[in-house]
Amino acid sequence: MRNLFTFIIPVRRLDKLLPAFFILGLVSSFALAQERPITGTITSVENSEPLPGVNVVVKGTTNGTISDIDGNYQLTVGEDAETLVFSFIGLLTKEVAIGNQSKVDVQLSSDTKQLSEVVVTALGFEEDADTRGLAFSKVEGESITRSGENTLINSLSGKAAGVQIARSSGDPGAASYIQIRGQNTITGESQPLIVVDGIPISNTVGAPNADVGNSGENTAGVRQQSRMNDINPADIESLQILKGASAAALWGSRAANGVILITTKKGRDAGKLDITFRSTVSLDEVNVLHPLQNKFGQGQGGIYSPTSSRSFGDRISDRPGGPDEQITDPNAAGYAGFYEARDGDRYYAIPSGSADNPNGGKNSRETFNDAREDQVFQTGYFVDNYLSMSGGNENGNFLLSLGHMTQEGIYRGVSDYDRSTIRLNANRKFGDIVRVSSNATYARTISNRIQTGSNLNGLYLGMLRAAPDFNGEDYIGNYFASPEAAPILNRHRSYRRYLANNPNPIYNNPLWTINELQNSTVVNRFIMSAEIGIKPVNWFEFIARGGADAYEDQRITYFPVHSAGANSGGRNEEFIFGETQLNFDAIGRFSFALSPDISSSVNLGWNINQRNYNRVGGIMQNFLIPDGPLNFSNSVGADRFPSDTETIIRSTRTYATANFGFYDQLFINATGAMESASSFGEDKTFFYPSADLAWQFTQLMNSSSLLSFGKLRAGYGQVGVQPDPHRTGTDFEAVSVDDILFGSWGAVLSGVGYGNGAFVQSDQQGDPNLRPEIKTEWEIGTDLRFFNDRLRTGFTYYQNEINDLLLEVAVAPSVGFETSYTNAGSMENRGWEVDLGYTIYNKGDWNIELFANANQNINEITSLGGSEGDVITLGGFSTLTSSVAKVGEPLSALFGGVYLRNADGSLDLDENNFPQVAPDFDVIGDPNPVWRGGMGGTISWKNLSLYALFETFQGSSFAPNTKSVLYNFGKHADTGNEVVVPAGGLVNYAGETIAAGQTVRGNIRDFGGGPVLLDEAWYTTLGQGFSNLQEQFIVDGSWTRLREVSLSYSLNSQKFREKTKLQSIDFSLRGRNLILWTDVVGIDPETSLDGATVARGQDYFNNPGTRSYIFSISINY
Amino acid sequence: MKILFKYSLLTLLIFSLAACEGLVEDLNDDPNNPSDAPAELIFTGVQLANATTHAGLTARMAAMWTGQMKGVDRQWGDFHVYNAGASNFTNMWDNIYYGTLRNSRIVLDKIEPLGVRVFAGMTKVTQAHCIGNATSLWGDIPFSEAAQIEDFEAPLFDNQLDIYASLQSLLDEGIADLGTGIGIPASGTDIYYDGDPASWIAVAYTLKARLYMDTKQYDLALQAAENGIASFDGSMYLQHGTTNDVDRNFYWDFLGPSRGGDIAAGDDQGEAYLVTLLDPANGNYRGNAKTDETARFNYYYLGADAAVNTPGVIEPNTLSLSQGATLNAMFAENASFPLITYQENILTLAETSVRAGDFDAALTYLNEYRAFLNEGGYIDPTYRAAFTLMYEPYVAEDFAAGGMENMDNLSANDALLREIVEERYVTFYGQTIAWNDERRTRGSVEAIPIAPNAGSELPWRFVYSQDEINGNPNAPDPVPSVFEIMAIYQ
Repeated sequence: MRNLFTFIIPVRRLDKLLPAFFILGLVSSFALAQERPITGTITSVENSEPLPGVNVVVKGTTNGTISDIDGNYQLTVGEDAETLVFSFIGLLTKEVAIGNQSKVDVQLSSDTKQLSEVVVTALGFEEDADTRGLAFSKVEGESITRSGENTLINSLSGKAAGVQIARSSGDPGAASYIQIRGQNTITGESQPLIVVDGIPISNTVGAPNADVGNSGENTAGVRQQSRMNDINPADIESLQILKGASAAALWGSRAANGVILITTKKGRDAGKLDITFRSTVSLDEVNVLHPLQNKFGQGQGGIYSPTSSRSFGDRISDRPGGPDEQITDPNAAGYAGFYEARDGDRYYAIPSGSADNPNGGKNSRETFNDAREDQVFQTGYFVDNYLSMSGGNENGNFLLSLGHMTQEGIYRGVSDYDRSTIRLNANRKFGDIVRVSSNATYARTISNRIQTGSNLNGLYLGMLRAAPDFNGEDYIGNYFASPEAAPILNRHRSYRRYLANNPNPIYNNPLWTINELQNSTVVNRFIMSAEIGIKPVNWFEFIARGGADAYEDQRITYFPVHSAGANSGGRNEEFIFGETQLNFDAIGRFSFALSPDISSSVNLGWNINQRNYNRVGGIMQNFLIPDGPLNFSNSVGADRFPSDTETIIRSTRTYATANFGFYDQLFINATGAMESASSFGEDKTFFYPSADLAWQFTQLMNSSSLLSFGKLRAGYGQVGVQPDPHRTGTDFEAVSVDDILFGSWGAVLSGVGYGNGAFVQSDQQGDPNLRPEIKTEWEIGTDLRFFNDRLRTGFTYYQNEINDLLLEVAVAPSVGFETSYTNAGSMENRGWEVDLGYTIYNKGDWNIELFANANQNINEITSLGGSEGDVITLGGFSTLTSSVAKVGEPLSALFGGVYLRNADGSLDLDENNFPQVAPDFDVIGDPNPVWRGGMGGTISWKNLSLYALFETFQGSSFAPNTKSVLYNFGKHADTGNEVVVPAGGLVNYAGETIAAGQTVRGNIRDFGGGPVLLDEAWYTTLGQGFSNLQEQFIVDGSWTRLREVSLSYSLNSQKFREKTKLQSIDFSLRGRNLILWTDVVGIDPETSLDGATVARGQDYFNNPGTRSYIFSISINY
Repeated sequence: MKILFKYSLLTLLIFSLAACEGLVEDLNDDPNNPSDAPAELIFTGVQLANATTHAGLTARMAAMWTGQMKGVDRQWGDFHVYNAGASNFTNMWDNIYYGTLRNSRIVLDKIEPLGVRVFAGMTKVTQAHCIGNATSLWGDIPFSEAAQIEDFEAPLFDNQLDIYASLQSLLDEGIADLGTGIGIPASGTDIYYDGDPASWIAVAYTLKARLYMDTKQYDLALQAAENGIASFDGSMYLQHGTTNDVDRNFYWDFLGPSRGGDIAAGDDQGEAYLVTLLDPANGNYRGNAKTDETARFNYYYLGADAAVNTPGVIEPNTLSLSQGATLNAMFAENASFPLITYQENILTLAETSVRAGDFDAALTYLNEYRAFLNEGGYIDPTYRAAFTLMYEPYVAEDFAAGGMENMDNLSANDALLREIVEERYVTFYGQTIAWNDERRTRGSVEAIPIAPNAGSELPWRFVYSQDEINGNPNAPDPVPSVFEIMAIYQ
């Protein structure tokens, strides 16, 4: 009873609404009449084809029907009925007097002025966009395939105002981050809800682990896939983005990040089998590389050392040349055994340099930066084939599609992505009352990835830090401690362990990383849905819609023996991630007219949704047989760590929508959803209202060619973000490898190894009163069309406030917890969006179209629940540059050490005129853009069409940590400069004065106290990326790019059709990401250290981005 | 039709409204983790958490700041010159307050009402061990109100001297509990002594002596140490193994796999002070006709020619039998780490005796310790076998003016005191208590004569955790810097 009681309290607001809907529904049933039947056929003026779906209403009544697939209709009208009104979106409405006819055939012509789009509402029903008070962004399937991307998310880049897509890496299939109208949550799920044909599906990125909001992406590891990319882009008819809270409120606590509604392709009644075959080939290459120095060798202080981590050694051009001196005599000083590569090359110790002989035994002047790039990178490619067959008749249709895409990454190693999809869509009508439809999709993806980021096994970390004079070609071989010693097999040769005389190479050789490691994932996924519609009367339809989305992702992360760091004994992780989502809706739809001038429709529905996550698997280390199979038996028991996690979230919603149209010009839409979810605390039910209003004010005006259409709109709504499941209590957790561990920079202690095992209270305090985060948003806007609709514009302003943010608040350790998971804090977004389309020229064979979109979003965190100084780390490195949430700052602000400044803001320099670091960290940048935009156009002549899309991202900050850390290693090109010391000499950071006239390695810079020399003393202490002074490295991260360009030609002339029996053959040539303008050096600023998470704008040895050249051919029968 | 509609609609509404909450009830209990755990398992967790606060970052920082090691690369080059930011210490504070104190309070809440006293005593000694170390490193810290979020959301920072005093009473309470002999926890609970009350009582006394040493209450320290750990076997060592992410030696993991090359014991500026004391080839070598440090030197350090983690410079020794070496060094993969030892206790007896003016007793204690070393002491047997060592007893003349340990003509007492303090410094290699001694004796005749790693000042303390500064309004503002002296050293 208590449950019922707690439910009733929040329900009160809906109490007032529901009876109203109920009465409205009843009113409609009063339309009673007897009398005569009328039939007829509706066809098109243009091509005489039958028109299905046309509304037929007796004027002045609610009595009506719609035409069937053959354009036939049947209606019983009252005796006093005089006129029938025929209407359909995109067609001119026509009124026909009935007189005494029993058969009324009509022909409707298309409304050339009527450019309004059909949009899909949150429930998946089609509506006329002009009657909605909201901003919609719709992307047609054609535009998705035209992008040439093989993953769905990336194909949306630049296409819609307020929608930001950022790919985290150029790795094949890597996840991308979607952000709609700014960030809406700090720790919760940050990605929009994806709904395919009315059924929500998973878009998990990374690992579906215990924390749903936690994407499992971080600064190391590999960039995993976005599950949305399991959908074949070619299967999409259209994709629509519900940006605002008012559009998405029906989805309650899953809609705060917006909703992406995907409508898949269906068959059509074409009287024949439609067959389309499309083949696409893409060539991909690295788009930006870091500039590196190759003037100075490995070592420090200008002296060569073959094991130094840095490249501050001797000047390579000063070396004598010729082969290096090697210590081959076992009795000689410095003999260290030898290494024999697989190809038989032998390496012995090379004598280090000294002050008198800086190059020591290193005689060769060869450098290997370019060779390393050639050894690692290649031109990657993908081949994407798609075959679809469809057909139908008046009673039903089907579409079967097969897709297969296979991709080789840009690395000459184990990097690939394969996706196979099969999809069947079928629709069937049984008379006029019952219709059923179903979708079944199976997708299988197989992928291998490359380790990246802050990771001793990451590609770039070992590759870019490697000394320019180190030849890493022979990366695997055997080590012999002495001529008599037995070999140690398969040792790993790296630049800090050039003889491989130690099991730990410290950093991986990049060739080891790409060839010897394995990071594979195999995904099997089924998405099924079915819908049944029963329409017993013409004003009511009952719809039951159910679906299931289930996948299993088998992942292997394998580090062979002699990989860097803690993995030198070998390590293998095998996990199976499973996620199942079940969803069911029951919906009642009512449509009727309240009076001749007031049209109305009401939907009532109920939904239940359940999501289960599982992760089962284990880790093993220290292989018994170094190259043994990946089986847990290949390690002792103490080195095996099995683990499992499961979570469940169930939610139910009752919802209602009502739409009213007045005089065909004023439209009011209202929705309400009551939601209960298992992850909530004591209060289990919350209400999400929304309403919007559209006024087509041009209906009042005389039609004008200047302003051909005008609409004002306004919307208001509430949506939410769910708490993570199972967080209402404070648990006890095992002190074990997979859970709570006590450690410090490396080593950890686990209860597995001590006593009888160990459990402690969780370091995170739970909260029994967890609530969803609630986002309240209003928006206003206008849609205007000018010059007979040739210029189409949309403008929207929105403002929202997110309260009760779910936070893992870092608490003062002295209270006895590390963090507390609770509702605390609030955040605001406000911004505007502009869309523009302009038909510049459309005559004869020519058509020139221009389009643009732009938006600005301003985000500010207004509270984090605690003191003003609160900082929540979202990503990056808390000891260097991190992405944080901080009060008064936009979410994801970059945070790190700042300059010590004087009261007037100038730098407080030390006695040598070098800057100093302030004791406290502060905000050092904002990675969010001031504005972003897309702009492009199409020029077509006959069947030839040229399309281009530019995208820009302006006013953001970027932390180029790869570059700054390469300073420490003396490897970045900036540290390879040489300067002549000017008159008066220069002082370096160590306080040494360098006399005028000398040529020295370094750069001259003036921090405000006169020029100083930046040399090794600076670049290995405060002037490098590991120092606390991170502010010095932040750069403008703005970029503009030619996102897409394509040239396409369609062969579809009458003659061609007759000769080949084909409808058309389409050819296209495309470029993707071809040109990039940015001040960021060395990496595409779209990159993300933390993968597809809210932490943006940082690079730390991230794998590079790509550009692509794509050719495709499509044959349509 | 009207009736059909009416009923279907009504059914729909009633069904949905009634069904909502019931369908989502009782699904939110965590299926993965329990909501409670037995005190025995929690105690083991507390011991592990506590161990990290002595063997982790705190120990490495102290070793760098007392001339035992050198930070040479990446962040550690910066830490070495005292640029350690507050954010670096949060993890340690978590282990102190959340890992150790919070969970140990939970243990006490569970067992004290049941009269399980030995177990309670062990828990209290562990608390004192942890907080004593913390206050010695950070000064004023939360204690009396700490780790009780239910009552104190912003714990006060207690005065350091008050903390020392209350830790002495806590240890007295613990000793009383242990003395009852009642309530020994199940085997496997205690990873050090498996619940043996006598061993814990000795540890508690050695710990009391340590805390009295910190506060320079030498007479009380002497009394406590007399009841302290009496044999090497009674020492509290954290056992280590060879399983990654489970039980490997912290130094080994840090110096090798995790942060190879970041910490060494020498660089182009020279060797760490302790290296100069122990290296027989160094002009500052402390060996003499009665003392040969060769074995201990090699056990501690790996020479520049053989260094594996920092090739070319001398480094803390990580050679491990388990990794194929023929020797097992101080920081071998499975080398046990000293927490509270016989070595500390007897050297405390020696130092406090000489400070009390009892030269003979002090010399006897020192020689007793040297006899222990002469038998190999705490040095791994592989090093005893491979290298020479000699610790012959000293006699009073050695400390007389002009004697081999008093070439600069101090008083005999001072000369002996200096030798004992130096022996402590050498013995406490890699432990935070070496830094306690250095700070305690700084400026005196017996001081460890280390030079600052940068600038002209030696640091006095660590910086408070960044999370604590952010989250606790009672945190001192401004935050004291590393160069600000703390109460016990004033």
